[in-house]
Amino acid sequence: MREVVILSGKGGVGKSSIVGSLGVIYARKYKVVLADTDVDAPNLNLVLGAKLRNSEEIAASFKSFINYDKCIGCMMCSDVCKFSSIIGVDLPIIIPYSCEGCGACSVICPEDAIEIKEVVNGQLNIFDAENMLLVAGELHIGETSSGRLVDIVKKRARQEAEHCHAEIICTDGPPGIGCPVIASVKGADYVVLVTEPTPAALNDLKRVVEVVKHFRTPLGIALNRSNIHPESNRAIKQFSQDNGFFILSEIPYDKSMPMAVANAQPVVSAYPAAPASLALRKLAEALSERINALS
Amino acid sequence: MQKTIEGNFQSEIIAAYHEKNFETPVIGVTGGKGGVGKTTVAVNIACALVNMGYKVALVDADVDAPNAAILLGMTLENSLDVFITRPLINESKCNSCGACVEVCRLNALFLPKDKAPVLLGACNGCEACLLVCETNAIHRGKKTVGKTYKTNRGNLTLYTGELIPSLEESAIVVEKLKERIFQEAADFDIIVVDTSPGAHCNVIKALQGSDSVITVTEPTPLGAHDFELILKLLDIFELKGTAFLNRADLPSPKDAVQKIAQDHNTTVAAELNTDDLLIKSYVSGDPIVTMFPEAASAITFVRLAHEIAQEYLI
Amino acid sequence: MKLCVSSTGKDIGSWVDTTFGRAPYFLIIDTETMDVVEVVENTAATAGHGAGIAAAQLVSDKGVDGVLTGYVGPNAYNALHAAGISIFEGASSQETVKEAIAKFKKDEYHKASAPSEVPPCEPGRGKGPGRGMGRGRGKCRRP
Repeated sequence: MREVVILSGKGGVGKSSIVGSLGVIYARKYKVVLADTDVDAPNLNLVLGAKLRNSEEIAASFKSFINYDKCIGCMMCSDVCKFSSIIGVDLPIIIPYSCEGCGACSVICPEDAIEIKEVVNGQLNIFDAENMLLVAGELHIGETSSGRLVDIVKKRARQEAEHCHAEIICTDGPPGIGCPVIASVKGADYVVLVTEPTPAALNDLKRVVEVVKHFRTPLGIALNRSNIHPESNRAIKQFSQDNGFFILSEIPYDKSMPMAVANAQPVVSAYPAAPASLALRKLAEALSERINALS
Repeated sequence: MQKTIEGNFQSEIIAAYHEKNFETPVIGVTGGKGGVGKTTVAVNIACALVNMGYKVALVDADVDAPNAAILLGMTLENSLDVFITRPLINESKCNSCGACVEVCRLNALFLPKDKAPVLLGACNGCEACLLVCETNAIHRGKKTVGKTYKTNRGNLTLYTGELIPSLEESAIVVEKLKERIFQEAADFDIIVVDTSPGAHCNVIKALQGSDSVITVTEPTPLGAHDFELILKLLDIFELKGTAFLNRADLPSPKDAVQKIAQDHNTTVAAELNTDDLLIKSYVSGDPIVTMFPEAASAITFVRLAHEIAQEYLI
Repeated sequence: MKLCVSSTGKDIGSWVDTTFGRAPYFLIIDTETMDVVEVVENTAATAGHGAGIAAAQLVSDKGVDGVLTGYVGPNAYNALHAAGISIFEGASSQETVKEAIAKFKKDEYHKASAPSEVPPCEPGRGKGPGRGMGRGRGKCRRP
């Protein structure tokens, strides 16, 4: 079984749309499990028009809780908190959205009034989409510890994949380069970096490349909306060439892409003859060749 | 978050969130989904305000993927490092008691038998190990996790945060960036803050202290879904504002977005259609309000800037 | 020697668990007598962060001389190395702890001398002719 993660650095360059189509293409030949680790704003189920099978609450975050019967209001907890998460003048108040649950406050508390507890921070949703299973995480609004929720989504996706003897897991990752991205890359066999020909997307591509290189995971590039700016298209090709990165496919922009999204269908299902669909099939082929070439 | 806020303190937490020690108005720009045009909106509104003669601070708080400088054709200057604590262990003082290893919730420390502990894993600089060490064998070292920049061009000052790739401390970099601009807030007529995509810690920190928030979205089902997420977040933090519907001409019905806006008492203040000139300006490092001031989208940005000035600056 | 084997269960007939940090149990075995000296539940297995380091701490505190498993992550490697514990990798999920120890005694596992620089891969993975992106899930070190 192989695990492929799709990342981009910049948001909105087409990760979810591309993963949806890749899944559909691979599911014709292989057993496929999909995962969505963009737990801040999971969208892959929408691209696929997938049906929710079940949903469970996940406690993957730790927070401080103050026992006000014991608290004497010395505010030492507030002084030691490195995350500016305890406010108040003579009565400490924990700010849950930034509390890391590190426990420094409970160490310093002379009255033993602070406890670190595990809290529910999100949910794990299982969807059915045509011949595929989708495991998606969703962080509750204002909650933290997205990285740990990503770990849980990936673990569940692996279990499901083993259970149904899947040959490949395709993971739709989050934008950016922070903790949920790092959690998504860990343990993956291959990373596809989706980008588009604009200077901003290239800038973000360079940053996410640094992250993937850090984990020494092999990577390839999918150049989406390849036709929107020829000069930037050349710049991305130059960057790829200079670094020895393989461009798996160039996917031209045409109306079929947004129309498919509007209809909650991957473009390869909705418009199989569209130029974008052709390019996505080429992407699937190039990607499986790369995966097969892994030792 | 509602589940973890202990009932009585919600109002204190929200009050602290809105507290500022300066008068300068702060306008946040966010959106939930990535690539909907947050930075384009923030940059153009900031530049339109500059063109009206105001001193503007534009804050790029998308520290994972900061792009405002690229859209403005600016080279970042005046960098400051962002640090967290890295524990340094003095072996001669250590009595191998193991208390630091036990207290570290990230399991970053390892204690070889009868030796001093070694830092092996990811450390978030919480300093719990320093607090628990009885022999004061652990000292405060420094680890750089990112940078903030302050770049000036006429009446526009760009504050940018940048996380070092492969590290996880985005939230700290956002916090230090906000500290830097808020300390200098009095130097400006208005502050515009551009956030990362998503609807969690980095976005919450970036929007802290905002007087109004512009939520950028697009009419696709994905845009609508994430639009609802971010409006729910704004509701929790009692942040008011307007919505900006970008790419309004995409082949997706607009009613979903309009319905969500209505449900959250948010008006759609502007709609923008896809526009070749906008893409041209986007790839040229020159905002459309200065590059093509006659373009329909430029006129929309200027109108929004006037509305903001009307409400906060006159 | 006192050898710690990562295991899916509590007895010597259990399958080997190939990931050191996340294995549910560690069986500490006297390789001379083949006796199970101690069964240690890996309380680090569910840790959000640093499971490998915490697992290394657990077995190091038990005074083992060596660890036999499928794959040791870089953090756990560094921890075990700092504690002077020998690391033997390459055990497969297709063998029982007992079988693995028998092979260990025949010197069939190599002693790791540096942390693996690449994420784990699996023997025989990759699409076979026709169908299937690999098979099995036993972890191995890349050559």
